[in-house]
Amino acid sequence: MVGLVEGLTVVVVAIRILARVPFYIHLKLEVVCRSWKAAVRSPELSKYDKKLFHLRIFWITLPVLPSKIRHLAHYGVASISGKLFVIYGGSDVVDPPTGDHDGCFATDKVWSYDSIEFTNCRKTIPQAEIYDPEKDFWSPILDLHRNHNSSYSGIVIGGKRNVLHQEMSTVQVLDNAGASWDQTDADLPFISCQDPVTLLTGITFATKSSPETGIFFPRSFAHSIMETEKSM
Amino acid sequence: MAEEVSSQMNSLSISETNPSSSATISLVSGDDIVFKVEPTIAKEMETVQSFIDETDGKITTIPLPNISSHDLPYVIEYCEKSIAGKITKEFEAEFVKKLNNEEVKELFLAANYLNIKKLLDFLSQVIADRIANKSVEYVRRYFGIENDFTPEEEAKLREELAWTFTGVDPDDEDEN
Repeated sequence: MVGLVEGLTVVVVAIRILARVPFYIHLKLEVVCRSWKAAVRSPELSKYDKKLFHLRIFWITLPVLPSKIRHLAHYGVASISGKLFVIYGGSDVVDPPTGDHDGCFATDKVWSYDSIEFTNCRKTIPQAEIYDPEKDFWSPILDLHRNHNSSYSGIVIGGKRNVLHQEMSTVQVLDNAGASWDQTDADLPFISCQDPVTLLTGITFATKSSPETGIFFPRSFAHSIMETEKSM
Repeated sequence: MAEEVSSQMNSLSISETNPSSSATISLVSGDDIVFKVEPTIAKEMETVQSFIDETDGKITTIPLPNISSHDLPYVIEYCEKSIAGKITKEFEAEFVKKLNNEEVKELFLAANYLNIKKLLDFLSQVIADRIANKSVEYVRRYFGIENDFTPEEEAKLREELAWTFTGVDPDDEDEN
């Protein structure tokens, strides 16, 4: 093995290579040595990552989650600060002879590349929490007006948090200051929260198993469009 | 460094006897083989060019003790393609197809030493692709890195990250 030449430190090599492997390999490469571990967590790597972003326009398969739960369902995902968080739901496996659930209705795990765990409870709860990835801390926000024994989806549109219930067509919106939850007067035409919801440039796209795709303009967004049009 | 350079120069004075060579640059590999290249090629190699600039172009024989005569032709070939604007995906694929992992690493070190940004970026990507699915042990051996974790620390890291240790290629697979 050729030793590294002068001016090419272990960390410099590590950053060059780390910036060019799929990011899920980073965790494995942390085990190489202390310098590589430091490189994975260095701000230089994230700067490099941004420059090379154009090289990453492809789909990759993430490693299998470390969960022992089969048929994981009702989980949430979020991407914050370049990390993917998987917020655990539970298992929907039903034992056919007994009708028993897999013993896991809801779990309290949140997986990210920092493997953080939080508490949770099994009941339907109106509490909502917000996660600050910088401080690595969850803090409670105002309780929802209504809670419902079904899944929730939360999305942020124009700085406002929207909560959608499965089997309910209303959306609750928390304004940015966190002062109150408002119920939107525009009901969703057909989607239910079980269907995947995504946010693209300020417009909510909800897809479902049927061919329709719903596009939801929150009031604030519609306003801003109208104002933009007026000013043009 | 300066002494090293001048001793290399004396032993290679033969390369300066040909008057028509004044326009070309002589690159001397670590094993004393002379490669004559056009000045435009030398421009691609920042380390070489800055050496030429420092001596106001008077010195046209550049010793490159860190680079072997096996690797230097590859570097020159890449620079020639680069100048001609012919670096394509196809060329790059062909270029590395004939190189094993050790050769890729040597060229990577050469590109770093000569400060050829394009080649360095390209080879970084090649290495990244080739080691991504390798074991941690392979990566350590490849870069000549000593494991400085205690066995307890390493065991803990591996336990925490157990879910990422999937689909590691066998280490011996690349020695083709």
